[in-house]
Formats: sequence, C-alpha cells, structure tokens
Amino acid sequence: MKKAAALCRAAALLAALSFLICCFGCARVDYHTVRLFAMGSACTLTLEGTAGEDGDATPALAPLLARTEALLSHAVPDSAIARLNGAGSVTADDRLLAALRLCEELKAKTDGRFSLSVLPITSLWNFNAEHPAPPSEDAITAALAASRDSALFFDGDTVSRTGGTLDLGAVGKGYACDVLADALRERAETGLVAVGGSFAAVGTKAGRAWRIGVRDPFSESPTATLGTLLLSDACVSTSGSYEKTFTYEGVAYHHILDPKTGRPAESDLLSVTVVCESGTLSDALSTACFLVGANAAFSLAAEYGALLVAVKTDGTLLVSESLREDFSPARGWEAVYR
Amino acid sequence: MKRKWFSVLDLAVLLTVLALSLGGFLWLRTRERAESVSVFCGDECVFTLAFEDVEEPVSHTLQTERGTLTLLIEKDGVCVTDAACPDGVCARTGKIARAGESIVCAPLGVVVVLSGDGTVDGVTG
Ligand SMILES: [Zn+2]
Repeated sequence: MKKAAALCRAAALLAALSFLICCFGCARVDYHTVRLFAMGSACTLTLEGTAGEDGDATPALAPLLARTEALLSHAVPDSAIARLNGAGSVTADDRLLAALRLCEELKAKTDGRFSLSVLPITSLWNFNAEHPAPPSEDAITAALAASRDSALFFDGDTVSRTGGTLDLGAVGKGYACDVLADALRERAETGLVAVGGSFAAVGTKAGRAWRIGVRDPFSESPTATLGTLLLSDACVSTSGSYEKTFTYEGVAYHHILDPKTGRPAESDLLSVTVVCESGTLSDALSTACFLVGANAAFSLAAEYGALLVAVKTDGTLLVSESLREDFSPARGWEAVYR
Repeated sequence: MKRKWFSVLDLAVLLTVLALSLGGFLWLRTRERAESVSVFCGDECVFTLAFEDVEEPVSHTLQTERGTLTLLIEKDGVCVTDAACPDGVCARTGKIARAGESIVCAPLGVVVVLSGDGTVDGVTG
C-alpha cells in the first residue's frame, strides 16, 4: 500500500512538473542575455543559444569589453589614450586610428564643438561626485587654455597630439559595440550588443528586426520610450541632456560639455539618437549632433549616411525621412519626418 | 491502516507548482499580446493598424499582382479568410494574436506581422 501511495505521489509531482516545463517552454528560447559592467556602463549581450553551453559566445566576447576599456580609458595607466596623453604620441591599431581620424574630421566639421581633446574640461566637471558643483570661473578659464589649439597628427600607425589631453567618453561605448559586433560576425552569429545606451544589432533576431526603444527625454523613467526603432545590421547611440545631471543653487547642469565655453552645451535639442552602420560613428555623431543643434545635425548626419531621431527642447520629435518605415512613435508622440 | 495518498506537504508542493505554471503561462500570454498589425506586400508596408482602434471585425482585401488576399482583422488577432494562392497555406495558418507571430503567403508575396510595444530588446538613451 505504501509503495502504491509513493508511486502515485511521484507520478502526480512528475505530471505537475512537466506541465510547468511545458508552459515555460512555450516561449522558444533562441537567445540568452548576459549582463556585465564595463566602460563605466551597464552592458547587455543578447546571444544565440543557451548560457554556458557549447557555442555560447559569452566567454569569447565578455573579455573584449574589458580589453577595450583598457585600450581607451584615460584613467587606465598604460592604456593607448593614457600614453598618448602622457608621452604625446602612441602607436595604434587600424580601428583606433580610424576612430581618432573620424573624431578629428568631426571636430573640423563642427567648428571645434565636437572634440576629444577635452580631458582638462571633463575632469573639471565631476558629474560622478557625491555632491557635484560647477567649477569656478578661473578653473574653467584655465581648462580652456589647456585644451586650446589641440590637434592630432597621424604618421603611419603613430598618432601624436598637441594641446589638450584626450577623453574618449564621446566614442568609447560605440567603439566597444563595434569590437563585439565584429567578433560576433566572425563567428557568423547574430546578436545584440548594448554598452550603456549604445547598441550594435548584428543580423536579425531569428529573422525579425531587433526592436530598440528610444528613451523619452521628458520622463524620469529610463525605460519610458518615445518610439521604437527596427534595426538589423545597424548601430544606434543617443546623447541626451537628461543623462548625468545635477542641480546646484537652482541651476541644472548636464554632462554634454561645449569645448568652446567649458560649460554644458546650450542646444535646442534634448536628445539625439543616431542610426548608422558603425557604433563609433553613431556614438560620436550623437554627441556632435547634440552640440551643433537641430538644423545642422540633420545635414551633418546626412554627410555620413546616418539617420536621426531628435527631440527639441520644445518637444518636437524630428525623424529622418528614411527611418519612416523603421521607426514607430509611441502613443502621444507625433513624428515630423525630414 | 488508513489510506493516505497525499500528505499536506505533498498537496502544498503540487499546488505551488500548478500556480507557478499557470502564472508563468498567463504572464507569457499578456506580455506577448500584439499591439499592432503590419501588412507587407513584397517589400512595401501596405498598412499598420493598432488593435485598440479595431472596434468591430474588419475585412480587408489586398490586390496583389498575382491575385487577391482577404484578411479578417479582429480586436485580438488576424487571420486570412481567402486567398488566390494555390497552396492555401496562409489561410490554414489560422488566427495569429501574439507579438512576433506572422502569416506568410509566399505565392502572393504577402506577409502579415504582429508587433507589440512591450517587447523591445533594449532602450537607447
Ligand atoms: Zn497564401
């Protein structure tokens, strides 16, 4: 009798468990998500297969984030950028050279408003401090003097600088997206790489475009969106004045600094989202477009074949005409295509 | 000897497992409920319609180069009711209702896709 009862209990439990597995199994799992922290940001890798199983790309990709940070961070002693800041010149690989060249080009096209040679200024404004406060006039004047007449020079695989030391904050996340996206492509796999708010969509998600929400700059919530982008084999980055802010004596300060004034940029934009093929380009352009303002932003982006979703301070949502099919505004938002 | 097939503990475990599976099942359902339907003919998006704007079932007929296809759009899903394709695969797909589901009529080059806003893969900002 006891045996029969035990058997019956085991059978019932087994039946219930298989029901449970079946219900959760209904959602076919093609991808898994890995969360990491690198480049001063939360990173998310959405990769094919099952975590920890054969073929999981995580062990191959995750170290690349730390390696990229160790290459680009001015705060990491012996990084390429730290050496360029210290000795004044460094040898670099093709990817880094291309990124630096692109930024110098953007600097020329934005009349110096987009610049990497801003470490004297960015280190003055410590947005990560516990009680941030704006620096003094004298300190800003000194930082502006230290970053004046800065330029990069390229000779073969060597890059050298004059003037201000470099801070790659405006391109680092997009750069890291490119590094990981290329690694995924080499493995002939699809996936989604997120470094902070920068994304690289590699291929499609099982035949469908990746769906990336664009943050609503008027909302306190980091998950509130103004619309959704459909991306496949594309990168996206956003610069917004809502990110990293502090209020001091009633005045709000945001983290996108204008190298011409040494202060938070005055722009008619609240946020700019850039869609294009390269992560480095989308990241750099998002900052550059924010700095030059709405009108110049669209022509600057067009020069690089990049597409924009931009929100003006008056709430107008401007979207590149070519995004019409791949962007759908959220309820309450109306897009002006241009 | 008194027959005792299940103890209180057994029942508790069973009920928990059942509640979990039911909860998970319902959560997956609501999470994936589609918010809009997009109809593509070839590469072109013919129209996109939000389900909240669908009060009464509407029938919509597409004229493609290779024949007509009729859709029935209800407030909770879409199906193909009639199509000029030889295989009839699209009509046999039945009603689709969840974000990500689609109906494909390969002979006519028509694709019906459901999407939902709650299903983004990430947020840029
Ligand atoms: Zn058909």
